[in-house]
Amino acid sequence: MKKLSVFFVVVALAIVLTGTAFAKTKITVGAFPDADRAMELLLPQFHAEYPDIEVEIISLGIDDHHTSIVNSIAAGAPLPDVVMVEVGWIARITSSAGFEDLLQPPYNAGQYKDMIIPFKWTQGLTTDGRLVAMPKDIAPATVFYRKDIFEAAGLPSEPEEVQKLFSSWEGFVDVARQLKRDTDGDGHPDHWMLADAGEIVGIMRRADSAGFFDENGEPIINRPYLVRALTIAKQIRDEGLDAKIGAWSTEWTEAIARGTTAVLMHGAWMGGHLQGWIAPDTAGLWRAVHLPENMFANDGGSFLCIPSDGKNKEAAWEFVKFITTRKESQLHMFQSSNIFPAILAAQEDPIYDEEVAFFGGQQVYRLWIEAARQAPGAPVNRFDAVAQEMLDQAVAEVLQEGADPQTALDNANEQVRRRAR
Amino acid sequence: MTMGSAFKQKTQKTLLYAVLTLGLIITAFPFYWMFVLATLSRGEIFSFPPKLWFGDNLVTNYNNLLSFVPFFRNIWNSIYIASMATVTTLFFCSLAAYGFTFYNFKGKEFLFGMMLSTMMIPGVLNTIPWFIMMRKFGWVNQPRALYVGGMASAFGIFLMRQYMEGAIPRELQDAARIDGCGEFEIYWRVVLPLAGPGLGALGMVTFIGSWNDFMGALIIMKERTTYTVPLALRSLQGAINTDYGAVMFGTALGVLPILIAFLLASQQIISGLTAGAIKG
Amino acid sequence: MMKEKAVPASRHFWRRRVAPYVFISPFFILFFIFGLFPILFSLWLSFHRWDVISPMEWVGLENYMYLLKDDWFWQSISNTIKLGLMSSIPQHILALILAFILNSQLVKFSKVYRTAYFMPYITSTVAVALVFQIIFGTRYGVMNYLLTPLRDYNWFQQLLTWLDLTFPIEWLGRVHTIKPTLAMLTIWRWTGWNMVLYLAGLQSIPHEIYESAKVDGASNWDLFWRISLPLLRPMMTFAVTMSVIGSMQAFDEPMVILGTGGGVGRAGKTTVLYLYQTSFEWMDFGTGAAMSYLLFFLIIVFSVINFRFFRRER
Repeated sequence: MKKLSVFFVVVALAIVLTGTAFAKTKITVGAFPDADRAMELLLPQFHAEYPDIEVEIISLGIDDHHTSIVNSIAAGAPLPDVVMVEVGWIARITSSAGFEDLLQPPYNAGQYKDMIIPFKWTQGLTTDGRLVAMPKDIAPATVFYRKDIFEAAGLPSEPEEVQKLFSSWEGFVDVARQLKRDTDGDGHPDHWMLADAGEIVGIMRRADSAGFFDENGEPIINRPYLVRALTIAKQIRDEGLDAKIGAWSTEWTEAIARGTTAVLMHGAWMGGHLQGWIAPDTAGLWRAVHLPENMFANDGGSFLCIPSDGKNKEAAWEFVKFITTRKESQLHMFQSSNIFPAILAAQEDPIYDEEVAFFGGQQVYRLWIEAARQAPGAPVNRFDAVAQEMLDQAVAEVLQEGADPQTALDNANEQVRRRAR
Repeated sequence: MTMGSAFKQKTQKTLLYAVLTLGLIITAFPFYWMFVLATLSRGEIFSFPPKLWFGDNLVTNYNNLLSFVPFFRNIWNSIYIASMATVTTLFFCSLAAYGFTFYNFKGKEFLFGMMLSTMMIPGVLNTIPWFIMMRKFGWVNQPRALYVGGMASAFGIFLMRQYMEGAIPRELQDAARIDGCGEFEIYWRVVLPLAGPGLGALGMVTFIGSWNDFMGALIIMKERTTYTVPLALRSLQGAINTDYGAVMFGTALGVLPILIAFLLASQQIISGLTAGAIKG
Repeated sequence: MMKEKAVPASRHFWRRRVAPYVFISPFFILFFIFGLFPILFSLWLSFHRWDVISPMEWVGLENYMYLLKDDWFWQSISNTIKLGLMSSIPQHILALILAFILNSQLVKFSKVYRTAYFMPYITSTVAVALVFQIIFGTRYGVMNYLLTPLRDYNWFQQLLTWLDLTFPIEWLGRVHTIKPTLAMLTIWRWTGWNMVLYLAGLQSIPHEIYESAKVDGASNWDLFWRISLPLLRPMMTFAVTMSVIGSMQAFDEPMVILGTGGGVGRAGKTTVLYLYQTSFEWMDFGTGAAMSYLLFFLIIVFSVINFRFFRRER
């Protein structure tokens, strides 16, 4: 008898267990480093709260991830239930049908609009006003500079003073002139302000509220704003004020580590790189200030999208909400992987008051949040990749081969017009 | 032999060795350095002057790599796919090359030319239609998707035909026929054993090509456990963050099977040579 | 064996007629299953405008007309040809000489050299890219480091001015230095590969031929010119054809070193790089497909010229 009852209990348990196993919805999330790991670390919490949903994160290299998404869309193959998209790809991948409009029921994402930093929300919108991409993270940009090198060059070095020096781009160029030095006395300069003058164009473009195209879809790459950016960069290059080192090369990291170059203009994530591997020995020597001329820019960031042909869209939405609308999740990702939150409430958290030792005790997080709130949201266009390429070509021609900024940008604009068919 | 010419010969020899050794350094150094990089941290990898000797980050790199991807599983996938590709390619290509070299038949030149021209179409855009097909076949995530289509490659047939033309006299076919060999038997018993060096070269190139095939694997393999080595290594590349130490460790580990395959193939070339010498 | 002999002569004949078709059939069967559809798909695509997301739109010959008037396309073709010539010719001369030396009994340890020369082909591109940066860096690069002691000499300055360069030299930053630098990388990577092919070809030549020629007083040059080269012709046809096809489709090296942009003034932008960028970055797959067909015709033309060249000398 006892045996029999045990048997029944076991059978009952088995039914219950398999029953719940069947009820579990499995969703896949397509992502790339580092966000894949940051989200992976959040999974135990998510699974505890949503026992019916099982999440699997599929990861590829960033370029491969997007290529693979494009291929799957082209071949009509199923996409992961949730797709992460980097800001550089957002317009190309979501410009048309294929992704859910999150403003419609059952999602009703409109209720979260006020939580999220405004420029980012705009980027997730299509031209016809659908929200196809839920903002996940941002990357406010600032100037990073070496205090000790400024001092050695006889320049003011405290953030407030440096901010004043940078009150205009002309002031920025003046500082560059003073940072170009020959310290070993062999008659050749060996210290500079910037690695590559082209950085100026890159960051100024991101700081503008206009994109590559106007509201009629006409390219506006040769507008005076960009001509000015290119002219400043050309001035720096022509006067020999940059080291002519391309970013992310081995000599670039070496130049930063050695203090050959003293200034960087990048997203907040740069702090993590400097501290983590590029120049860990320079802890305490770095400071951050806003971009010259009171400009504010965003340099990176990503979104989560839900493909329309997914089978588990509701479960997918639960996960998207968990990652993008929860203060705790966003803080967790910031702490584990330095991914800057896109929701305003998360930015209010006291952890952002920290005095960061790597920056000599400066409250850099506050600075980044200020920058994030003032960064303009430039409209995106599906031909942005074409325009970016033409701008890069123009910059290279001006800096490397001495072309005239206006002429180079006029040509670039013509090229974009021809190609944006 | 006079003193002068002996001296001249000696300097010539020394010069030859010097040039060859310089070439050796230029070609082998990056290979060596790959292994050094596997033991360095990311900061050390990007430093100048470059670190030329092994560092002490090997274990960290190893642990990092294995925490990101099931790397040994990925190596096994690559070995399996590359071996299948190599064996099938060697067979089908040498067989077809035998057909093209040892027979005269109607439409031979036309068929050969057609085959060659298939190599001339840039393959960049094939990924999409190919993916559509693989889905129809149900071959997504299947290793066979990565070798079945290329089993009889135009490249391999062309290589083997050119090799056979130079190396295997056609009289052997007649002799074998007189001995009563069937057509396939001639290929299997007479031609194949003489094709050693050609097979060695083709095998090597096929193995390495399949090992390094990235695009195909990217399209077909959708789960970490089915990733091949290049896919697994590239999956560590982020927008702004890549653990180069782990990547280089995986690269070094991943190149070992290729090295072994290469040494085996060289052996095959040598034995093919001796076999050819005896029979020829 | 006995059985075979019992087969009537007519069946032998029939077998010999059919056998070659059977032997070559796997290629055509596999091509029909796996290769034909992608090619036809691309052809179909080349008459459409398609950004992957929206439905295809028929545009007839517009993509082709667009490309024929596109100066970037023609520049990419010219880049491809120039790069191909700059890298292929030295590569084959080097590979031939190396294969000859390593095959002859002139040097010891030929196996070591042979393995080493093949290594660039199996060295990962990530490692290659890093090494390359370290050698050709502007501020911290081995090449410029070696040239540093010269920078204050007048003649060196004049030489640089004559070459339209300034010190430190931006090896990959100037329009006229990009191609030679890329060619160096390509030569480094592919010489060993060709050497292996030539070695395979040379190994089928019995050593006795060399020995008897040596007895007749032939020098090493004679052996190379009179024996090795003529007997290597089939293998050379193969290796050179593959080089033509390969360099017309050059992609890996410029991509690794310069990215899809192809460097300053697009000096390193090959046609396949442009094709890739147009399709996968700009999402204009129709134009990409048209470009691959135009390139296909060019490759055919070059291959035919190449075949003629090798045939005539036979």
